Amino acid sequence: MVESLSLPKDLVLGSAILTVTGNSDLYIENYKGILLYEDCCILLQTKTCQVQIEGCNLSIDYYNNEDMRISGCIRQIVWK
Amino acid sequence: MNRIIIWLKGYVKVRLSGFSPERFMNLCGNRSIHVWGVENHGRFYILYMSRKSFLQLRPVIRKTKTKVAIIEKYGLPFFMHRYRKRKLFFAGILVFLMILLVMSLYIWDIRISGNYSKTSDMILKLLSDNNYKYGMRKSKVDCEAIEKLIRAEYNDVTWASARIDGTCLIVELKENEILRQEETVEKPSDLIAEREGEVVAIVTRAGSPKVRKGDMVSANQILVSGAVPVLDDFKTLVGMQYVKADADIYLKTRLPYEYSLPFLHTEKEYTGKKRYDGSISLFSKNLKFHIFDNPFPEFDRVEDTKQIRLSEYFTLPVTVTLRTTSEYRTVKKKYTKEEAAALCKENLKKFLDDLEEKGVQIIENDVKIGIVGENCLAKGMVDVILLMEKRQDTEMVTVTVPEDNRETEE
Repeated sequence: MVESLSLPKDLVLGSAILTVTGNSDLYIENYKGILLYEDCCILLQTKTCQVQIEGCNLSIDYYNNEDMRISGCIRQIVWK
Repeated sequence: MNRIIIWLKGYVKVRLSGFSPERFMNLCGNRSIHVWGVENHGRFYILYMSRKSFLQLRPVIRKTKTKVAIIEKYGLPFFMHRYRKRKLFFAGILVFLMILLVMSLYIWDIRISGNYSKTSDMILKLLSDNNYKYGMRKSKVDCEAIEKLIRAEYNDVTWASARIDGTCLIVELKENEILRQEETVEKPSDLIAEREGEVVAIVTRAGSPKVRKGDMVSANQILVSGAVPVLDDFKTLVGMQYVKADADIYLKTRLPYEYSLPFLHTEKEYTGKKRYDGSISLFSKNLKFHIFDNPFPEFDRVEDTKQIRLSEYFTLPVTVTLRTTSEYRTVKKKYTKEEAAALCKENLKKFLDDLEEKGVQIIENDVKIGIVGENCLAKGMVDVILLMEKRQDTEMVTVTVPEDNRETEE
């Protein structure tokens, strides 16, 4: 239905949008909360699943209710 | 810009430790507490937040049982608090701002543009005579009155605009170019030969030519006359029409060249000693602090004057002059023959280059460089082709119309 009506999935399904620049910056929208924050792993809760960002020297540049910018050396992103 | 606002509001760097920092962060997010620069340092976290946000943290800390400690404070409110006892410092800032505010109420610079035939000094004098001067109150400047004044004073100014930008009074005007051209239209004149020579080309546009290509002419001889004879059907002279002669006449002529360079000469030898001082001019009054009035027996002095301005249009009534005095000694020296010859050649080259720059065509030069007594002498003639531009007023001739013609006219 979403596809037939051409509605954006992030609005209808509440899917997270991830924008990754190289392996050093990640911008995530539509997340719900921080589950775990360590130097080498950040686990975020979204509406549909969990997103795990792995790497080293990970830091949160800024965050608010809806979006977050993460910088550091990102090695992999896992959807759980 | 955002950073400046954050700095003005003040922010803190805090150390966060405890059982569940993630929960703390989520609660901050939910309560719209702005947090940035979060770093994990193993057992504790470092993060930044605004001063206002920090004051809202108490319920969050209680709920999450975390510990928050301020490590550093940044921004204007903390700066003001730290130096609250330095009253004179703040008074200084306040006085500075007050002076700046007061200064900005006056005109400190008048700029004039678009003027060609009227010099800026003339317009400045006109403004000054009507009490528009440097240092007057901005509120007393009536831009429309200035525009009217300029237009009334100068007939050929078709458009004038005056406006105030910062502490500058900017006057722009446009002169009537057609009127100016008409004004320069010109009384009748002849083109005459500047010097003797041979006419190599002549193209006449106005006037009556008196020479032909190949003619030899003497100095001041009329080449193209501004008096054009008016003939009737029977080729009889009935009158004269006077115009400004206009023609391209090229004359082949010889220019003499002579340059003498004495071997003995004096040179400035700078000792390398320099003295720096200057003066400050405030409200057109000089406060001089010249320390070294006459420090050296022989010296060169360079003055660099600048008006202090905060921005392009915010000029302050302060002029700073920096003076550099360099000492030199006068030394008597003697050129060698080669040096003197080279200098003579250089001078000749400059002379020829100057001629070429003026559009003179050089055909040949037979300048010889030799030594005469204590001097190096360059002497000879240069063959050139010159464009004749010298003028003289046309002589008015009274034409007597023959009797027969008068009768036929009647």
